[in-house]
Amino acid sequence: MWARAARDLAAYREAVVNAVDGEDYPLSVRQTAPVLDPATGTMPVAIPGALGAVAGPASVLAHFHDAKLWKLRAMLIKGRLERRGDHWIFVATEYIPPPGPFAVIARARKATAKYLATRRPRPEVAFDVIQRIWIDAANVEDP
Amino acid sequence: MPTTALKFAIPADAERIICRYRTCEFSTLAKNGTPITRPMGARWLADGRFLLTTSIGMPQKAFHIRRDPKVSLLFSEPMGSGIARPGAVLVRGNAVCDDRIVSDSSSVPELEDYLRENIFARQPAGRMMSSLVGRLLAPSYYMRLLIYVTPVRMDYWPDRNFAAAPEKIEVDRVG
Repeated sequence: MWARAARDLAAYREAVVNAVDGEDYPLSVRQTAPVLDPATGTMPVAIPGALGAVAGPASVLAHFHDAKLWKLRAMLIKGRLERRGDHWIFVATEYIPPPGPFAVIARARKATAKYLATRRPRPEVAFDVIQRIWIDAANVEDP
Repeated sequence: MPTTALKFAIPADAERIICRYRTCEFSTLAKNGTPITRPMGARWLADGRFLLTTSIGMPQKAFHIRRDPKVSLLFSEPMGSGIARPGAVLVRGNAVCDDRIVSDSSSVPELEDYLRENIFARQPAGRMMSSLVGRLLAPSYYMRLLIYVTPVRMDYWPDRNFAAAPEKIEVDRVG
């Protein structure tokens, strides 16, 4: 049932497990060599006790960008965090594979139309400002 | 670097991580309490708050924050940062995201700084988003919602042993 999620996650060397603490704040901890069991959707995770994580809703994010902040890709598995003995286990409950670029664009256009549906006048982007900032950015030393 | 106006002390290596890592893993809470986490660029402001932005074409995180302001940022991906001894910093805090669409980036000075230094200078290929093709495909890309995060707790891993207990950074009231 979790074969696709396990296969997609295997493409990343690291992932981040996200949970909630006792005051209901989210928290995240990076995991090295994450392996999701394709049969059970479970994955052992290491979360230091000092962070105060509690059992409950959780997720796992894996993402990549290169040194120039490009070639972006990411995936998110929703689930829950369970305590089993002395260890934390992430249990997957939902995985939707990342959409392709055209689907991302279509969704963004739909969301934009909805966000602007009742707004008049429609905002106009100051592209002259954007172009000036791009020129200035070329002179940023050691970004 | 924001330290001159900060009201709390932070190790220099932790500050470098926050300021130089290209992305953080930013978590908001869905209606059922599930942390929804995305890689995002974040800028640490002089008053100790963090600035992030999202396009109105991807407003879910803004909706989450308006319902529940509790968020976290984990700076743990060193790719491109040039930091020789990478560690990680976890920030937990309270966010605000007003329903104000910023389409003139010069109208908010810290937004212009964020775009110039945190995004454009670090992501040169992103310039295609302001090309004719980019404007046609994603006309709302530069219609931004601003997210400000006030930290309430920060934890710091000086190295990449994430199973070890992090060092707690005492956070005074900021903002």
